[in-house]
Amino acid sequence: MWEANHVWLVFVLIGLFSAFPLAFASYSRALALPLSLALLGIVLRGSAFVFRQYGGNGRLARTWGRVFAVTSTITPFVLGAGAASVATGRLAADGSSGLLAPFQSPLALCAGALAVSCTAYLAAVFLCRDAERVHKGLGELFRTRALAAAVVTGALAVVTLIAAATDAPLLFAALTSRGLVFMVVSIAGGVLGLWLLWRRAYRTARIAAGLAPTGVLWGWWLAQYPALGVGNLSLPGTAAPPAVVLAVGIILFAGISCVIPALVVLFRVFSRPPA
Amino acid sequence: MLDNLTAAREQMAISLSFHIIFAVLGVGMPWLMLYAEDRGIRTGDPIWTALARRWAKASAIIFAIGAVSGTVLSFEFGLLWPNFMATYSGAFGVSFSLEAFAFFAEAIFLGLYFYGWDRLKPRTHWWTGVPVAVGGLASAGFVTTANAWMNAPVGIVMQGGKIVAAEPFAPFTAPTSGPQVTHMLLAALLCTGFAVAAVYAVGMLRGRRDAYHRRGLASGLVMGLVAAPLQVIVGDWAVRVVAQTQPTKMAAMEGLGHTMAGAPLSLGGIYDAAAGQLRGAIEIPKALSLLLAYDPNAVVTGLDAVPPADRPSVAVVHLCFDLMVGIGTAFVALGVWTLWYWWRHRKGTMVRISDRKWYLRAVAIGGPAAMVALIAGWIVTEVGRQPWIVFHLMRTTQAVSDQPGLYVYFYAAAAIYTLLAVTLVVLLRRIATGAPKEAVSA
Repeated sequence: MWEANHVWLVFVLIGLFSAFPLAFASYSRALALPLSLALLGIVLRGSAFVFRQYGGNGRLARTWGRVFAVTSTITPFVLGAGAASVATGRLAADGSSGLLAPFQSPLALCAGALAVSCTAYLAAVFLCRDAERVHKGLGELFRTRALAAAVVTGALAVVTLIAAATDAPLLFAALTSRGLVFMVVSIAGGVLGLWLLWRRAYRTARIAAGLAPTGVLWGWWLAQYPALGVGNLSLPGTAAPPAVVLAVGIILFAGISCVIPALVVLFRVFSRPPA
Repeated sequence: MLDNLTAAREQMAISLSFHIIFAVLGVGMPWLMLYAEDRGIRTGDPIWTALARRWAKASAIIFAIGAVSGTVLSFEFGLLWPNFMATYSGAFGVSFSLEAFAFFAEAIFLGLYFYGWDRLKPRTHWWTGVPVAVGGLASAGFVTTANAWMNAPVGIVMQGGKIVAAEPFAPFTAPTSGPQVTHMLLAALLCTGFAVAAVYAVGMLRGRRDAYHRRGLASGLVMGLVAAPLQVIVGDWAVRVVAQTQPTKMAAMEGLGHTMAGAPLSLGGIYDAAAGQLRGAIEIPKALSLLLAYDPNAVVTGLDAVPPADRPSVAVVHLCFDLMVGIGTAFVALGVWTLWYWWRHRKGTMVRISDRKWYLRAVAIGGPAAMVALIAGWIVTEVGRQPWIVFHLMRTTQAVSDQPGLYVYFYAAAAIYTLLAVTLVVLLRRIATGAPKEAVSA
């Protein structure tokens, strides 16, 4: 019906510009092209989702179905590439590096591809169980795809890491020292996910599969902190006045702790069969 | 080729006009939905339940589009106005954080409501809709305080172009907050009421005059007609606060070129910037002074109080203001018309509004008219604040991105929004298929 992605995205964007105004503005300037393309993808994907769902089975629905597929690929690619280009530390905070700069490194392109294959892998793993409950064969179909996506993702992860060693040497060094624990968690999650998938333990496979990207993100964050990655900015230097940061922090924390239980209730009711 | 400022402003205008319509319907629909479901539970009448289910479906589509267009806006803030965000977004951070939270709660409970129809007990199900209705009002209110702060920035300490200290809840204490929030929330209920009533009025004009349509029409109409006179009172309050906090905006709304005692109220007319006066307007002598200060000879600030570079586009602001007030007044007149039918009906004359063609036509026009008034009102507050993005602190020219070629974004945005609007209309027409079978046979 609605996409949880948008809600999270709004949360992240608002949290960022409320607490770290300059960080938000600098990323917006430096990553103008990837963010605009992501935006395009998000709008068309979100609308395609609604239009396809309520549009019946005609041509209109099919066309929007295709739009949905294409935009679902573009968005993770540009977001992955944009995020990785920050790690190279070569982007200026005022956007003067140029629109195309975020895409002009092997690392960014590898990371974009990795993000796409990773989302495909996660989606397939998460759907295995639901698909199996609908139809045994459908579950198998998703399992095969999840396995294929896992192998591709693993290979791309290795390539991306090699690219990082040359394109973002500082980050690479920090990843293999400070962030090492998280990298190990990520690799373990990847291997474990593959094995659980092979054993058809779909529920635990979900958790293991989720660990892989989460580990990378946390490790990355730890390795890069406090540098913003654009210009010479550091995160604390971009913060709003302390009173605002505190208030925003409290609101977001309280908000999340109210929202998560509600979300759990939602999923429970959702999985209950209709009376 | 457009310059960056024009491109960015026009893109913002399209995005906000698109978003505000869905946001407003998203605020109002849950209240109608809850009302219909409650009646359905109390009376066991399947027609009410059918209406509630149809409105829930419409709410879901509206909410989804509203969420997408809202996400767009959060990106656009940074892409189009990076300097504004870098300097000031901390000042209204609390407003947006609270809005995000209210919006999230609204989203979750709408999901529960939508998928809970056959999974929860009727009364439990009804309660899952309450946070949707409350969350909608709250999120619209919170986000409006951020705009109120841009109109009357308070509670910050600036040093070297940077905010060094801020009261987190400053947007809530801005003098413009009270009237702006109240005006916006009432507008949401008013617009939704008339939009819903218009859908059923069109259905009736096409010959569908069953109980389903009559109740759909009545529910929307009552919400809109009750909100209309209240909106006039709140509007009056809002205007008075504008006159105190932003006299130049007030002067632009009324097309008042020169500061004067005993200022007239001007209806219509085209502003002649060179002469500093309206041409072809109907003037009610001393009425503006009387309305603003309860004194027919009170001095009202004109546009000449500030240099020309600090004045907004009077032609646009005055036209939009008159449009909004005119449509609002027409809604009050529609209310009087309705009361008259109701009174005659009580006196024993058989009056069925479903047979009154002209009345139904008026209600049918009321739906789009309400949206026109909504957008006109938004233009008054936004264009009326120009050339400032944050009143007296930052000019819009200083806020805009210096990235080359913003016009490309503008054209892309215009094309996409047109595509979305067309598809949406096709889709909503498909949903509006008249009363569902179970409601007719009941």
